[in-house]
Amino acid sequence: MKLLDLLFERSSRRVADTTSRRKLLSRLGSLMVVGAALPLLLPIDRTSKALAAEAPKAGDPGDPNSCDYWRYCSIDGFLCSCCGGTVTACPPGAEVSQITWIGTCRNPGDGKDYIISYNDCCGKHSCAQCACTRNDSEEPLYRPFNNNDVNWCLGAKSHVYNCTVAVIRGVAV
Amino acid sequence: MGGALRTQLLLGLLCLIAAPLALARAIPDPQQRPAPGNERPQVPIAAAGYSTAVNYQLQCAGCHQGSGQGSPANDTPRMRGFVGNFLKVAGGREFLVRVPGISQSALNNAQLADMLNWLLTRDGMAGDSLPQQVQPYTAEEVRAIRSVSILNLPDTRAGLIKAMQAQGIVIEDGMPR
Repeated sequence: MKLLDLLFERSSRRVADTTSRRKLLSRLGSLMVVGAALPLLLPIDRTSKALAAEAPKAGDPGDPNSCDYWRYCSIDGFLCSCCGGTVTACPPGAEVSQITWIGTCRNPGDGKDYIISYNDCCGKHSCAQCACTRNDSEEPLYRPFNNNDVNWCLGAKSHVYNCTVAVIRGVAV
Repeated sequence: MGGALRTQLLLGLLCLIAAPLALARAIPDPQQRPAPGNERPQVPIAAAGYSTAVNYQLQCAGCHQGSGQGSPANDTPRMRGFVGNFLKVAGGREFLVRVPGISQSALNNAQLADMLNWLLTRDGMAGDSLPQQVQPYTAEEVRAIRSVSILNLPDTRAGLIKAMQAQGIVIEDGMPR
């Protein structure tokens, strides 16, 4: 016991002798301030946030990289079109979940309701680009098969969610 | 405190103040508007008047899949070529109405009766699993059966499967057993 006492006394005295408290405080303070701001200062590629809007096509108006695009009327998650994939295709390396939920959206181009399947892409970490939440044809969670808060990656090999695509399955008539 | 350190500190502080403003993002975005053409609220599916095939897509196909092969990894059995077997055992007719996908769907009773009759045809989902005589479901029958909930789904289903096996029916629902 006495030995431990001696050890800690000596080591703390040495620290007190050789370091300055003020310097430590100022160093620590600036480290914390700079550390918190670092993510902004680092030269990260931010071009993915500045995706050029695609020109609207006849019969399919809107920008597929925007949450306001008509096919995304019930999407909850990250748009695959902002994540290296397209409106209908997963980014490379991500696996599409076969089970999914399906809703309808009205195409302003022809005024028809289309059946849209919101398949999740899985197996890569969250893409975190173009986060959208729109719930036009969503049902409450007590109807899980029509809910977009469910992680639909539970139908894929990996349950890690990456992004969501919007596939047209037909016209709702 | 040296001048260089003070400049460094001030710069850091400035970045710290700016960081939350730059990174803050509300989900869902309060500025978000519905897509052009989607401003009008959607008609609930029970009142939308879609065909039975569209209703199947909207309420069933997500898990049971377009062709009805199901997703055994997610406890969704195969319907194609199998679902008709439930009509061959006692309690099976009621079971088909009470399974969560049917009884808890957003469809009304008449739409559900149409859905069941659509599934249970020889050239439809049920295929050859259908018994010789099939009495179509009616909205009134669905209403009466649907109001009684199933308390133990796995055991109820297992009992029906056992009754099928006793009749010599080969169980091809895709589920592990």
